[in-house]
Amino acid sequence: MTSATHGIRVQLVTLVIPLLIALVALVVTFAVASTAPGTVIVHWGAGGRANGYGSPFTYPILIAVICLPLDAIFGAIAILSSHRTPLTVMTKIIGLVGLFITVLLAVGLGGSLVSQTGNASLDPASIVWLPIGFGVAAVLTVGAWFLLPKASKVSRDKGTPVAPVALTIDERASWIHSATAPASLMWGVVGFLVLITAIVFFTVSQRNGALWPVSFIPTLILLVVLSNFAWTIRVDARGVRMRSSIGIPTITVPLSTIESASVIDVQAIAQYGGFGMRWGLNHRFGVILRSGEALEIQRRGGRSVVVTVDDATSAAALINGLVDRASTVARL
Amino acid sequence: MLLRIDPASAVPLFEQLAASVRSDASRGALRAGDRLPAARGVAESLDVNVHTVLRAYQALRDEGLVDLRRGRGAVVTDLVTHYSELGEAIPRLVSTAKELGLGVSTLTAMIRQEYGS
Repeated sequence: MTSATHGIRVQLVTLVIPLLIALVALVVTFAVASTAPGTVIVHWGAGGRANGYGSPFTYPILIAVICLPLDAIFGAIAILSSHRTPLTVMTKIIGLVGLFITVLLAVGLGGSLVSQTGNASLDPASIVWLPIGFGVAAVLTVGAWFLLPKASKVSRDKGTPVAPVALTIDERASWIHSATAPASLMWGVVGFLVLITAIVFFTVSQRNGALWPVSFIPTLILLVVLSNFAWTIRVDARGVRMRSSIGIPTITVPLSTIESASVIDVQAIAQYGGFGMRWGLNHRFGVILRSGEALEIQRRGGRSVVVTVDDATSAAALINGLVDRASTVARL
Repeated sequence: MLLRIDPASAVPLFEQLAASVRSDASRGALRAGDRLPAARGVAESLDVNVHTVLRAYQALRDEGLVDLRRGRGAVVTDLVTHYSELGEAIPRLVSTAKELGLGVSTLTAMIRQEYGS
């Protein structure tokens, strides 16, 4: 099969079809809401009892606010990533998030609204449409997995070995560099935060403020972002220290546990499924802030740590120099 | 940024630190607008006094390679592009000298003469 049909299949499955489903669900729920009674059930408590009532237009609004941006974002990520690198398991999972959520909400919310307005009294049993939506979404997503091109394996590339810096016994050396996510990613994160905040405030206002603790979610996400997307990387005689902008987490790799360092080329989405602290498909832990040049620290025992940072060659050369010197000193 | 110092050397530590930053600038590892690492972190990492690092940063400010601003730390200035030009010129100079069979002392003597004129 040619790569052109691969591209079309990726575009259809990850972007076009989810968007179409979302639009159909939007039109249907909007039409149903226009003829529905003034209030419908919008929330269920424990045991499937209705405990929240609101405008029937809550349904189309939720579908529009959640499905359309998610479809666009995850579809775009999968399509752009598949242009640059072969499709991997990670890319496929990301590409199917939009489809899954869209089908879940289209069937779950759409079915619930339609069944409520079908009979004269509002039937709390319409909650049953959410698990049905989940089931349909799961089946369709698994089907879509096989419609997408086969995932290619991620090879564990050896990386470029880097010659050590020659250090004298007395010499002290330190390599310090900041590793920050590029502006484009930060804007994406800001957009995501705005979306989450909008959904949270909509939810809280629907319940007359009863769910106020939910407002902490955007703050929590902001903290996670701050702790994941700006780091300072330091290499010295103690080893390697990666410190996030708020100090937590700080990852330290003592020099005595390091075997060697090299420079590798990272594909963030395809190999790590995204950005931040990540476990990669190739069994490497990484601080992944962009694609491209990265420092790989091989630890004794076969594990390794990866960080995407500029000037990784200097860092690797210094680590190798420090490791060499430590082993020379140990032999004396 | 790669910093190297040798406490056994006769050259003061702050001068060695400044020389390290300069060599990073000339090998193209620093760009205008880059921020040098915080003095406290450097001091901790190299096990030297924080004032030694600050003195090195002040020396670099005096020659115009960095700007020291309160709250922003040491920021590399536009002058850095000239340092990388120098960094490209020196290997060329040395390889020409080697082709002619001239040793390092002869070349430095020639450079010294150029300065004097």
